[in-house]
Amino acid sequence: MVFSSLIFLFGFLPLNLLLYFVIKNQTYRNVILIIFSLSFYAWGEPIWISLLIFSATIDFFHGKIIDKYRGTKLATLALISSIFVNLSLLGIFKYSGFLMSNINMVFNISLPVKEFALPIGISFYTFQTLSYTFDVYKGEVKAQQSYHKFLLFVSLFHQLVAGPIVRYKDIADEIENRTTTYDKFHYGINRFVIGLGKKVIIANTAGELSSRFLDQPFNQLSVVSSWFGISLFALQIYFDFSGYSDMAIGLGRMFGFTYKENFNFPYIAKSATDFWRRWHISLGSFFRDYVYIPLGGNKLHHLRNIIIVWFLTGLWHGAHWNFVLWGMFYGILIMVEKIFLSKWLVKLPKLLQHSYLLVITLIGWTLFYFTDLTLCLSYLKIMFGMSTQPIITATFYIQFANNIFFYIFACIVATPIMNNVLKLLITKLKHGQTVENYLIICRNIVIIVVSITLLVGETYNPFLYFRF
Amino acid sequence: MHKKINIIIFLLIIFVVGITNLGNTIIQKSDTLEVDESELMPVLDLQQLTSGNYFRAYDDQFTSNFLYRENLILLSERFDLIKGIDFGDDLELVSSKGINVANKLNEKEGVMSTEWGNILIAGDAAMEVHSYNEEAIKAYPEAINRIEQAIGIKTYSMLVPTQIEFEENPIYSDISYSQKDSIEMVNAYFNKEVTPIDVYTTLQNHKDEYIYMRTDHHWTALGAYYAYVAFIEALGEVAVPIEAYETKSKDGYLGSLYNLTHSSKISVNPDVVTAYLPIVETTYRTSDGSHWSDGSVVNLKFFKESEQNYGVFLGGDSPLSVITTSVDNDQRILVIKDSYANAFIPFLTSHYEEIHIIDPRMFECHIETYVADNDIGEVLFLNYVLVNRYNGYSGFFEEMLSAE
Repeated sequence: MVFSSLIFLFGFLPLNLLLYFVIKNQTYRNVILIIFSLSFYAWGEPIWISLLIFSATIDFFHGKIIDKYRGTKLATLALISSIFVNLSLLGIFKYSGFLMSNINMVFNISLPVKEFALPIGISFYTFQTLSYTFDVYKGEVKAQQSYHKFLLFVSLFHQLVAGPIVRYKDIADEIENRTTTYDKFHYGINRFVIGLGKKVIIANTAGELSSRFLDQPFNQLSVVSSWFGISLFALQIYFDFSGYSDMAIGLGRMFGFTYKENFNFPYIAKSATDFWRRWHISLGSFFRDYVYIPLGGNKLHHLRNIIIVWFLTGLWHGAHWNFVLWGMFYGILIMVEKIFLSKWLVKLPKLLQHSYLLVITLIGWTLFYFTDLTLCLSYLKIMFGMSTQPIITATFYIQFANNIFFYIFACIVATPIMNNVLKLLITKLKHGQTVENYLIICRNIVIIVVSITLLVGETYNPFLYFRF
Repeated sequence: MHKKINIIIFLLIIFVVGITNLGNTIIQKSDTLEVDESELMPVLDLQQLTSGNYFRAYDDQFTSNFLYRENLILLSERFDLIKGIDFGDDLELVSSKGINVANKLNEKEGVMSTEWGNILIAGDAAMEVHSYNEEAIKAYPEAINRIEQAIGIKTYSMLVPTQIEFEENPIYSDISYSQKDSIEMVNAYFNKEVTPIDVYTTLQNHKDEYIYMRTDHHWTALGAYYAYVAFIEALGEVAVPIEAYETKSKDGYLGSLYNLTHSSKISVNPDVVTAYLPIVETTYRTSDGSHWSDGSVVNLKFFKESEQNYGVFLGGDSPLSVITTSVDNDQRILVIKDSYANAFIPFLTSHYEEIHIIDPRMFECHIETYVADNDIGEVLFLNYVLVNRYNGYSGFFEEMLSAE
């Protein structure tokens, strides 16, 4: 099931809210959340829910062992076991096909390649439970003694499928005692609705548009349209991902959970380093705290650590070499910036710094989009005028004109401009705060209505018509 | 205070919409916008549950029975209009996946082709945009060559250009690849035993007449008539004058391109479908692979009982159909075609005793056997030029050669 679907919005969510808020007992409330979360997951993955429960159960016991035998070899063994189990799960279900095809290629043999259908969310929940056992080991948090409370942490449907990666220590208190208030619920609704709008109105539209450029035969592209196309993908992936995070954070808040922010307007960054402090923050900080720093950080084997972390960051996104390339691309840039580039960049006018970041981001997304590296290379060549494609065509003018309002709107919403303008309005107008309050309500209604419309529109399949 | 209002409004919306749509998965409406049989709930058993099919079907049911669904679909298509502005001459480009793409690579039922097709909306007309595909332009004539060599009878090829080719504003040729070039490239690959028929010239000469539809990707029967004249004269025969035909018309037709785009720009000016009734007696049978049924060459049921008015020509596409006429000249022709031929074939009835019609996407027999068994003397391959935008179509030809 996905948040941006009619059945979630008008079936699952109302039912969940109804049961949760009618029943006042905290334990029953947790049970309700667990049941709904497991159902949410099972709806999309009826079989692989077993994997989720297995991962949660085994790390529940790992956590208890580490806590009980703290300081002894057994605790360390339990940690290693947790790492081994989680990474094996990930390795088998996500990377085995990739591994086998690479072995076949390198050794020129033909071992059977079994491709598993990737169980949804496995990249998230294995990392979540890993962060738990690590934090228990480091003594930053006490092991959860109650199985159902731990299962709640792992399976909570808000962040299970698409993040943010929530660390146990961040919500440990709220699992035990959380409060739901009008303030939190109101905030939660706003975040949720914004996320819904980002996903359905902007991301889905941008995605459909970008596909026309990225998936059509390249002989129809021009230089300008190739940049336009990948910029649409950049918008799609940002609004899709950050929209989901917004919805997760919003839902969490409605139920009394506070999750950390996952995105902070990444496209206004002025360098690759800055970008990664704003993009998928929960992943970046996971790798920083659990891989980079344990390996020595910038104190010991700095270069090696950066390469490892960015290799893994890339690989986490998908079992293909282009993702690794994408990770390494940023790793190298960040290193170069650290060594000397940052010092030059800050001397440049802000506009150039922003332009630098936008260009490298778009190149990065090209690496990210094409799992086939030959296509990737062809596309990059077109972008940099190293192909026979024209600079611009009549088709592009039409396509751009046909989508100009949407494009500008999406670009603006990707920056804090709207928030800043709103804040200015409040200070200048007489009853600014009231105006803002009611504007927000209107905005919510508009987003919901438009989203329903678009979601229903998406279900129309004209292909069935073509028998004549 | 405003926070409570916000909360109440939000809850109201999700609960009200939720409750009014509660019955969605129990009641099944028939949807007037689409034809599909796959909207039944699967049986609630372990296999369906564990594969996720049951939940997927539940999802589908919920959304396909959503209240006011048809209105919402039309409304969502209106949203397209506010994304931007038209360019120049009222030009708008709409892209759609899987439009009229018969693709050997995607034959599985219900799998939408992943190819993008572009439709240009210019003023009140919609037109498909042509694109260059080197592989397809070569594969198509080569497949026809192979069939000709296998069956050894007179072989003709007719590629029909579409409306966008004859627009005068040079911007059209910037957007849409030259169909003249496509035709010439294809013809260059033909063996000398294959005779290309030129209909480009005649259609160009008549371009200011109503030879193409505005809301559909097909030509009109008038356009098909001009092509028929070109064909029959290339064979050295005399065409039936157009005044000899009785006609039947239906107005208010909103065709394929309207269904794909739901553009209000083209719905203001619907098409008129005119059919020219054959002047000889005809019987018409179609086969779905196992059963034969009777039909009409010009099937007026599609004017009276259906919105798919283009189906008046031959009743639409079938794997195999046969027309027998009262013409007693022992001439039998096989037409291997896409739906453009449907408007064209009725005119052939004055010249052949039998016309056999094969749709290569659906036909599953061995072509040599078929030609021999039925004593066919000539074969005509009739497609519109845009069939070669994508790879895969010629694969259907190959299949007919190798079928058992």
